[in-house]
Amino acid sequence: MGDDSGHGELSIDLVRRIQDGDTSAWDRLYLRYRDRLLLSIRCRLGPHLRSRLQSEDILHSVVREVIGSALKGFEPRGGRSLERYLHACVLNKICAKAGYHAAQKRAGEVPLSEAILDGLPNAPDSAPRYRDAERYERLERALANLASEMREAVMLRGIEGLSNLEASQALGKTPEAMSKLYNRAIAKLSLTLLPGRPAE
Amino acid sequence: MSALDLEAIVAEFLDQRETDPSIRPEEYSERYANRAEVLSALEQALEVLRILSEDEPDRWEQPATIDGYRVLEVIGRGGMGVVYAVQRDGRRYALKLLTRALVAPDLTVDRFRREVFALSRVRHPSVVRIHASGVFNGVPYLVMDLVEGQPLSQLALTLEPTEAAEKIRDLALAVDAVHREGVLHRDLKPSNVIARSDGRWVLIDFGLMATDALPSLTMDGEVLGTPRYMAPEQARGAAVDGSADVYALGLLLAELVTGRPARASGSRDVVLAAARRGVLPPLRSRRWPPGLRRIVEHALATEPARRPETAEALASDLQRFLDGEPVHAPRQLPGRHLVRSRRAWFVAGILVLLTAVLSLVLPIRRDVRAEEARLDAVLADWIEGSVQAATRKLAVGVPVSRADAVALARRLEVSVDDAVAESIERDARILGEALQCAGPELADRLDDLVALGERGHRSTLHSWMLGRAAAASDDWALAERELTQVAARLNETADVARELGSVLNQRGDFERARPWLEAARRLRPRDAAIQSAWATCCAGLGDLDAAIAAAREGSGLSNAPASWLQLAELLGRQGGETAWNEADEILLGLLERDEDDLEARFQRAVLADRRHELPAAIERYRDVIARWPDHPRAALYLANLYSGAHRGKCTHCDRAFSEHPECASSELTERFLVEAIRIDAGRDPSFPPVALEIALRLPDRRGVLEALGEQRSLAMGRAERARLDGLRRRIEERGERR
Repeated sequence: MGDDSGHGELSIDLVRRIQDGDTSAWDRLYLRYRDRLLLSIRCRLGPHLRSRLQSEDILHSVVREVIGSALKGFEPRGGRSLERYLHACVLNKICAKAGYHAAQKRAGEVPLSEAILDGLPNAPDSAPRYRDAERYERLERALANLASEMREAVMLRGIEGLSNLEASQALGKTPEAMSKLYNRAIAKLSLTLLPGRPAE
Repeated sequence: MSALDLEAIVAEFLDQRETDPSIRPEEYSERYANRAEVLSALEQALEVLRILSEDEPDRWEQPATIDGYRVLEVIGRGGMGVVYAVQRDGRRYALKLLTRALVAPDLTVDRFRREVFALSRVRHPSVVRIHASGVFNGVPYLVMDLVEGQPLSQLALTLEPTEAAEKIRDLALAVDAVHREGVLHRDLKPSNVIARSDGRWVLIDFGLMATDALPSLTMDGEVLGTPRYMAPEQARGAAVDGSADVYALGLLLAELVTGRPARASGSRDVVLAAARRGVLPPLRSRRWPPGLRRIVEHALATEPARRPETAEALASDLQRFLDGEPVHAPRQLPGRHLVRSRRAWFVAGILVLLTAVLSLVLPIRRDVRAEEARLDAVLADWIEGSVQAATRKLAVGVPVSRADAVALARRLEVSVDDAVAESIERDARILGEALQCAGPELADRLDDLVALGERGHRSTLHSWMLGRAAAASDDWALAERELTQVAARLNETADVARELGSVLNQRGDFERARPWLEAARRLRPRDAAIQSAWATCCAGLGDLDAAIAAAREGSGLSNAPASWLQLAELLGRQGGETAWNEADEILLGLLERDEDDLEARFQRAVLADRRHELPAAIERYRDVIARWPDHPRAALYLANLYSGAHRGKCTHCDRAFSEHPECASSELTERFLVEAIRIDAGRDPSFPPVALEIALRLPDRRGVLEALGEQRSLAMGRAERARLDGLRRRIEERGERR
């Protein structure tokens, strides 16, 4: 995830500009977190929901809401707090979409309409469009092979940047158990990604 | 190596990195035979962590300035906070922004500054100077000198005892200066000591200093700090005083002299548990001068009240040692203290022997009870040390001796019966590994392993371990059942067949290993590990040509040092100039790749021995012993050579003995044979007959026989215990007759 946005302007400064109404600053901020948010969305959607929703649509939807609110709900609280805030927005959006989709299914399986996606542009396929595509796609495939609990541990600690203590509280585990679960998940991921070693 | 094994190794490595972030894959992988495979897996794990953690978001969220200090770069990051290189008025400083969670909720700028003021008064050339402090966005920070140099943790130093004593004396005086201002460091460790280019060592990082603003070492039940360097009371979360820093100085001193951390690595909870009990493994080094050893033992006393009263007292005692004066540190009682050396073990062995002999000479019934108590105390002490060491080894998959495995498995009974044990998985793993090392003697403990699996999560890993333990315990039905389950779950049978074959190989049952390994080869013909196991099997069956062919195949496939070593060893056994030359080329190639490959050095010595090149063999064996004093076979082989084993075998040898009379020496034979007995310590049941055979060539065998007697009595095998019991009965009978 290189700094395509250039200039090296601090995120906190970009946030202040967005909060002051300068929506052009959003483009730079968006580019910085796009790949990680997209990975988070794709891992969280699951195969069933992914067949009906486009990952980038969810991301665009989140972006629209965040821009609309001018990051009013965000309060800087030290390292990676912005990233964590954006992940929380993504998770809320996925929950909302999943709830809507379940309600539609109960009502008689109507196809997902454009209106549901807030009029966002259609993505032609469900393939991810990462900038560093090869690395993230391999990681995504490896994550899909993990047991759900392990995948969640990686999502919380690795992608969303929660501390071990926070992640353990989120999963209802002791910090020691959380730490072991995370390390086992990383070990499994590593072997899957190891060149020349088939995934088991 | 199976994926499951490799996965477990990587997970253990990551666990240990949480305790000791300085641990490197290159070092960690050295403990495994298939080092290259492990190394690439560990490096891949770090790459995954790097991708996941991506430091760019942090960089983007990093402040540009902190209260007028321009942030240049991040120079350190840990659980206690982030350290930035900053600049102000053209001068560079280190600024440590503490973790918010460590801070008392009602902290104010004025209060924090008042409390840091005490630290800023410290003026000592070996203590980093505090220039300013403040609170930024609710988080306190310290501005310190930016000390140019390298932390000790990156230098991997081994110092001469006097030099180490000088360095720790200086650090102790620095710590004393800090204590005099009412501040405790509480996180003394190699990474917090910077070696400057002018030779001075400087104490940095007061992130865990004790003040009212940062009152507690515990946060949400977690102990903060570095368990590897914690005093027992600190690890327990109890109130600490300056003696906790004195304890850490003792650990640093021990590490500098021995070249390795005194407290072994492991996952955070394992190391913390050891720290709470004050458990330390024996500090293996012959380099301890007696005075310095007493000083270290004094500083590492488990009870704070038994340590030097102040850091200054420790410094003074070190100065006395450096001046050649008697030190003030009290002599520790044998068996009371945890710092033990080979010499201490030797003394313990002598004690056991003396006890037994005295009991024979003084057959009085009441003395028997006293001797029994003393024996039990010595043996219990020995078991404790062995169990601790074996647990640590098994937890990371390093095999242990049969005697250690038996002692450990006996000790694990407590955990097995503990219904609320949180460490079921770990216990199961350790017990499984112990059973594999112990063999059939502990077959009855398989039920415990099954029970642990049922109490915990019955994972594939558990089945794998149970299957291997069952194979080692001769329970073939259970082994096949469990390993077949593993095969079904993993859709993979080659690993299982290879595992069964390897277990049988280890036990010398090559006939039964053959069909399993043949099956593994059919399933996966291009697997280096399978080829290696097949080579071992063929060699065991006496088919050296087939063994060499398989070893060639394996080394070509993996290019791992272990495979090449196996091939060289087999070529050496085959004999003939062509094979020996090829073996020598392989070994020289390995040493070109890694000059510290001690096993390659040892194999070169053996090769010279096989070729009857006596002076070269002696020089190479002695080189191995100098580099690796505890090499399991070098001393034995050297003793064999000095005993004149080659005399009369060929004219070449006889000429060598006449030209180099120093190649035969009874004195050196006895010395290295006794050394070999001490190194083996009764672990290998095939060792005593070989040692006795060599001893028969000596004019006086008493020294060797005594050494054998001591070590066998300490070995704690069933036979040895029976011998001791028999001895006691004889003593009792004599007493009754009187």
